[in-house]
Amino acid sequence: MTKKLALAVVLVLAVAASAAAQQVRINHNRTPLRAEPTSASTALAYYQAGSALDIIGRSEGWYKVRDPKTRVEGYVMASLVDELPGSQARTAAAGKPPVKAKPKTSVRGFADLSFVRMAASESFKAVTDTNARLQYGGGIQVVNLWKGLYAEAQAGYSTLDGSRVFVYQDTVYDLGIPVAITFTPIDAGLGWRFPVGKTTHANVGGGVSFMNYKEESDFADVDDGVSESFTGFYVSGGLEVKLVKWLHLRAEGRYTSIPDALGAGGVSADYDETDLGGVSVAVKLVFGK
Amino acid sequence: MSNRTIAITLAAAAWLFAAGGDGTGLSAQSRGSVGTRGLPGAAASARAGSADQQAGEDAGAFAMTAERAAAFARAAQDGLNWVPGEVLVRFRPGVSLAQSARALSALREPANPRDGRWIGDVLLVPTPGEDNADLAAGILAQQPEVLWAQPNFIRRMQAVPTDPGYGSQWHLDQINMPGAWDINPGGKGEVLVAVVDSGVTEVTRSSTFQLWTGARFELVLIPYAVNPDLDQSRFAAGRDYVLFAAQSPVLDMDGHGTHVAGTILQSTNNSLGYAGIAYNARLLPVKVCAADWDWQLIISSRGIPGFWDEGGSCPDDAILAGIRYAADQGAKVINLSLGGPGESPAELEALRYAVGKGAFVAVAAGNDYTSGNQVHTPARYGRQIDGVITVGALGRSMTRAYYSNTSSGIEIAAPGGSIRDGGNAGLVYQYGINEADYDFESVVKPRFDRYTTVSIQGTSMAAPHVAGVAALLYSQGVTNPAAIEAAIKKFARDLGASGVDDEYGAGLVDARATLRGLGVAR
Repeated sequence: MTKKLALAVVLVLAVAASAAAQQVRINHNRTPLRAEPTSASTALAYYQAGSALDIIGRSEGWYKVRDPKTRVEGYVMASLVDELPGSQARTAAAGKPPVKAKPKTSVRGFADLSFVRMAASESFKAVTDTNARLQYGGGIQVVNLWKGLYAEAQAGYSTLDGSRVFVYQDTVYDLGIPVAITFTPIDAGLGWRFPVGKTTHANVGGGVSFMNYKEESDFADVDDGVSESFTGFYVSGGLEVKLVKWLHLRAEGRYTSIPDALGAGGVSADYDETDLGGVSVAVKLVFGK
Repeated sequence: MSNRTIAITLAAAAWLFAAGGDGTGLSAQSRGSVGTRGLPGAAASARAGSADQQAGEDAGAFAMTAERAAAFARAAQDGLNWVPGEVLVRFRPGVSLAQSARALSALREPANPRDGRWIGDVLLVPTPGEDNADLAAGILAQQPEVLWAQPNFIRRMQAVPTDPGYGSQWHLDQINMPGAWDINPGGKGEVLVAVVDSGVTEVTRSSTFQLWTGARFELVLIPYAVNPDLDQSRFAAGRDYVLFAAQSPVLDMDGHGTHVAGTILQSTNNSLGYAGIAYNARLLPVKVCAADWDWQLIISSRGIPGFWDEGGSCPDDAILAGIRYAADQGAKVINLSLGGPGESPAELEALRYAVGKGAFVAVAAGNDYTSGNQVHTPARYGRQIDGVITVGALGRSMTRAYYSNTSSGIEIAAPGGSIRDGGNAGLVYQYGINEADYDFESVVKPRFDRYTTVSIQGTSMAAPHVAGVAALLYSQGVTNPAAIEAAIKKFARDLGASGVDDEYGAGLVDARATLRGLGVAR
């Protein structure tokens, strides 16, 4: 598990490293670079349309920018510039070097619907007649912590119904005793988010996954039920499209491993399946900037 | 017995042969009507008009001929575990009748295959010139046309009768039945369970037989009744392979089969008697064991004075036929609480036939631990066939009963009771035929129509616990005999040495765990 977790972190950092600072592009000729974020402030320099400046901060209606060539810092009015997607600004105007910008940290919320294909495929198929489940959930995301770095926490909920069984030589005998299985995962992790188009961002991430697993059946004694929590990790990656100003749609793939959660009893012992994780595809509606 | 027994002598047997025919010796018998399941060899009831007796009953033939009766008597007197002058032969595929006759001609006095009786692919053939069936079978086995030949072994029922007091059915708690009934209350009526044993009485009637009463023969009215704690609507048409002809009803004159059947499926929650495990299942009684009273009826009906003194016996040919009959009738569970020493390819093939037909078979391991602990047949075949399970017995304290055989052939353990483990309270309790009514030691005119508490110990009592659980499991959809065996073993409670061992096999059968099966994680 440690190796897998380390691999996930390395993957996240590698993607993060490939991302660069953001820039704005001047969209009006003679746009002033001011000393303060106010129109009354002194103009330090003027730029032609197409010039690129590095974003080093945001203020209400203003970008704090730095001229990558002269290293002069100041403020440009947001309405006079376009924030550039991608890691490198194009030098649309001759003689205007690319600049980097620092995005503003913000908090976003999301709701998601996931289709999860479970790693303990044979075990769940024997008992519930399926090795997949739909999971509902939601969470919060803090973006632009540092450059494209974000933190995320989310919780989910999923249930499956089935019957207790006996398995003999690959034949599953349904004993007709109802089983209700509940999955309640909570994931927390970090990731990197970077623009890949004017309204599209990609993200990769990873973190810790906590899973509360509950298995209840009829005719159970006190000790017969299962309600336990396990810890594992996840890695994820996806694309996010801005629908409107405060609403984004994200599609995400996720691999979760929760080792040693199964396999001590039940049919999971018969099938020698120990991992409660799986691979999922999620659709998320993200609310926020 | 000793105070009243006049043992049958070979001279008497010879006299019997001379009598010829079926030798019933009953002039009042009617042979007129056919087609009802009457008591062959029995005269019409003397108490006409009584609801519980049979009037005007036909009197067909006893299945047991005089010659065979004498042979069984001789076997008992000489301590043989096979029937003298009979062998079971299986010819190689494609062997013609002429070729089989050639093979049989290897005997000192050639046997004729036409004189034999086919039981499936197996021929039960008399060997008139060679009483020593062991020797005859050995000679025949060497013939190129013969696949195998064996003596017609005599098995014994695996119970140890005792004088019990009243008690409770601790044995059902021991296998976790209350919890199992929560899951599956009694199984389903479509599950047919065959008790291949001394029979389970399937009619309520009285019939008159000629009996030796100590100084003379008398016509004695013997009443029989269906166990009131065994719902008659759950009986399938049984079959008698040792006493009466095919169309006769099955009668238990020993109580062994009734007790065994009681454990498996005695009526439950009916405010009467005791509980059975799969109390909704149907019962197929198959009689393959003749008890003292069976033999007594045979010899007395043939005018032989004296009392049978040789005990009960279960000939291999009857066992073989009984198992096949049960399987052919659609039995999904077969209980065999019988056994004895000696390999028997015939029983092995019969067991394979039954499993091939979808029947799970529970077999008693044997009660000989204190007298040699030799491996019993058919128990020895449990390990060889997935779907046949060999059952050892436990006492009340969940330790091996003192009599229960041990060997690598023991596959599972179940309560069989032990007088040494809790006294009378440590026996297995069911509602059975009142033993005092037919105690062979003291009763001259028996009756088999009164039922009461009966407690016995033996691996015979252990096997039906497993058979009952199997019937419940079958009713839950586990229909493969091998899967039933695997489930019973998997969910057994390990006892003794860790894992499978020679005393307990996989351990004590746990009905609740078996019926409950598995979830994903537990």
